[in-house]
Amino acid sequence: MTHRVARCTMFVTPTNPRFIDKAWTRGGDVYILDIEDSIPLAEKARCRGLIRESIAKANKGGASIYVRINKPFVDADLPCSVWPGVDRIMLPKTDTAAEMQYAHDLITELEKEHGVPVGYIELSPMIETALGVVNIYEILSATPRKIWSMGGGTGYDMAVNLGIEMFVDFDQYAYTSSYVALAAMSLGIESSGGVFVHNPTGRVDQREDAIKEAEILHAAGVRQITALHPNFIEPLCTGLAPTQAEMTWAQTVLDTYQGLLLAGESMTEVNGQVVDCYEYARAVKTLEWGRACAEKDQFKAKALARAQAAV
Amino acid sequence: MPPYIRRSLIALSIDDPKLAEKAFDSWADAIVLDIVKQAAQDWQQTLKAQMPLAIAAASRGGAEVFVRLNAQTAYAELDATVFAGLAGVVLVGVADAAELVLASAKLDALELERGILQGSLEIDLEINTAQGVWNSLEIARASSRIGTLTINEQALYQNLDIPFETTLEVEPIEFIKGQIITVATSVNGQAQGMSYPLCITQKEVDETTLKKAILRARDTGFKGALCAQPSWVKLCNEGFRPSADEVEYYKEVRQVFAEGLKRGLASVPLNGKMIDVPVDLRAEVYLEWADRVALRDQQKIQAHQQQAISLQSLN
Amino acid sequence: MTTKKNPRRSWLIVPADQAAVSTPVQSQGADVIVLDLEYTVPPKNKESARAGLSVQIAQLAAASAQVFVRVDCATRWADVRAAVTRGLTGIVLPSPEEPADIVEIDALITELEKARGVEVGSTEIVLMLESAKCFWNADTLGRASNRVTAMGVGRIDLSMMLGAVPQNEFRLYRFLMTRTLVAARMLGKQPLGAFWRPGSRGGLASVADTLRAAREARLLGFSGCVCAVPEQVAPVHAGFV
Repeated sequence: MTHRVARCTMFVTPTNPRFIDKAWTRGGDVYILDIEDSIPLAEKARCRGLIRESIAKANKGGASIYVRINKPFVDADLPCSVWPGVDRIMLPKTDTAAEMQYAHDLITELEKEHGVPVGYIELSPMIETALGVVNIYEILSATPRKIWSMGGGTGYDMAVNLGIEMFVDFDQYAYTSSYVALAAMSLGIESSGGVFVHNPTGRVDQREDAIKEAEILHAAGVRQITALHPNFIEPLCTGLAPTQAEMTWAQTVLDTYQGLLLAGESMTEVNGQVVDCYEYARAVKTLEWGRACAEKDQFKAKALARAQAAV
Repeated sequence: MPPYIRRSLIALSIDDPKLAEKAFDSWADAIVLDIVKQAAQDWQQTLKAQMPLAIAAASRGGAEVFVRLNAQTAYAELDATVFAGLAGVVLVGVADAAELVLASAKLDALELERGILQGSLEIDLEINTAQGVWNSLEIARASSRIGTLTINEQALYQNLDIPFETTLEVEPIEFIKGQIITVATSVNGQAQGMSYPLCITQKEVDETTLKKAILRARDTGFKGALCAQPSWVKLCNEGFRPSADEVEYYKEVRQVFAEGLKRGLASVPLNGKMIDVPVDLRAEVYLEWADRVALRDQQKIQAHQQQAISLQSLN
Repeated sequence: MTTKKNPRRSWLIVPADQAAVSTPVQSQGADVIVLDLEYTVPPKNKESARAGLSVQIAQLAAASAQVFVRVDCATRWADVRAAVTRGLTGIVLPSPEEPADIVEIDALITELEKARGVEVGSTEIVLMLESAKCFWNADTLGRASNRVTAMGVGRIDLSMMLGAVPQNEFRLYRFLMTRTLVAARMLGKQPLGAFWRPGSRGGLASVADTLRAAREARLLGFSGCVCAVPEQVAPVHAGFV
């Protein structure tokens, strides 16, 4: 339902009260409770213990909650992470279908034990190695669980795996991100995935950059991205939703196309814009997405009002 | 982190009268020997006699030595060309996994026969056809001997009927290179190659241009390059490695992060960037890479010194 | 197949329901005529378009044209039945997703060739890849039938809804072109496609944009592309040099 709208996700550190207590006020669509790379080894045990109570803290503003677990500690992390209120488990550095199957089976058992409807929790393989890239099709089709592809063969860990420096002036992940995107699309799986934007400074907190990134992603048709800083949240949530003009045009296309169908025609122009089967398919998707975003925004507004009244 | 320190490779013919001298003077990390088959009936015998000498000559400067064969004729040629002292075989134009399995089995037999450590001979792929590209993963997975992948750009352009243009903004085979790098990395091997357009012009260029081209190749994911010009070798050796600045930076990262850990911090600032677990991991990996490069350079220096000494003692 | 005599650079779409257009079409100089039963024919005219096909094909063949028919994938069986006749060079099949689909059409064509006195095996199939599944399966699709002589990148900016990226390209476009090229060359098929950029939509692309799209495709290794309208034939020939 509303957890399908994840325009902007952000990692939060459950072990840091400053972050976890305030996260809900930032307006994100999704918060990812992290047990992985933002938590040093010595802190992971304590972090596991905090996940369950962090769910309610972080979702006060209507955000969905994901948990990013550790690849080497799946058996320890999953029991602490599969709880009502969690929508998705993120599996870092997924390399093989077997890893997906293992996680899926364990999550199924835990859903039963912990009172979560079986199959509710989505599983997201994060592709951060060359091996994960080449195995992507098998990974995405490994389980019957709802899959959302994330980390499409880009990012920091991918750079270490390939042995390359980041923040150069060309797209180093052109092949890996495209190959992963194609596999996901061919399986009808939605995937997040960015578009190459030259970021020479490596800075992730400038609001102007956020607005620019949102524009670029919007034009490219990308609907989900991870923010590395709270300043990016609002511009991304706003920017990745359809504009009013786009919604109006989509409705026009729909209405026009119905007319075409009735007349046995297949194409026409409205205000110099083509209306045909391609535009119709696009319009349907736009309207669907726009409504989902509006519903999520309403949900977040209600949750926020409730939480603020309680404070 | 790259499995092999092979920043620079040069190709030499076993018939080259100056083989030893060129190999020695090149300072390349690896020499690739190209064979010449005489028209005569007994080319195998001739090669068998030539190869051990050629391998010895090529290794004088401390380089790894490979022999390069066409996949279609390789099975017959391996017998005549594989001898102790070789690091491995470069197979050109492997079409599918079956071909590779045959070659690998042949190497099993030759290692046993010729007192070469079992499994030590590498197979490297030089890709020059659409089929080689499409099947690259399957081929790379067909044998644990697979070491490096490279593309023969001029041959591949011809095979794909891509016009030979050297001034384009985007390289026509950008995605093919990405694929080969990804495949190589996925099987714990590595890829070598030069960036465009130098990879197809293959000419001598000024230092600035060459440095930039090597940096681009490195940033793409290549770990070394076949040097079309001997003059490329020095900058390849210097470019395909963590730089001195990077080493210094990564040492600081490790230090600062360790200190932070002691104080119970998950991440620490350094020059405006946050140093956390992934950054420290990268630092560890790069420092280890730098150490191995230093070791390799040391080996080559020693090989050169030993050569000089043994030449002296002859005089 | 492409030959020295006919390099098959331009594949001109001609709506099959506009019979009066076919004759002047020959003077457009297109290398290949593609009588269309798909995008350019509105549903209300499909039946009559099918009915008039064999006459049109005969006329064009008599003038030595290479004639293909682009079928609608959803109604391919009826469309193929209407198309296979003496004089037809082949079928253009948009968005086949599974090899089995092509095998089935191959068998149908064989049956029709036998029944209609067409040399068995002579009717070609050209695959236009237009969905993610097509591109993923490119190699198995190309291998599915010996009739396949060409594989092309369709208007994926429209059919796959690939958005524009800052480099003035469509997301994934270059990757998908490369993938098609490698599959086609591996299998000995002619790679078809043009490097369309944001702003050049379908048959509304300007002559300049068409020339650029063709030229850039040539630089990527392609050797021909679809022309939505006759005005695109000349720039396509200029680009695929």
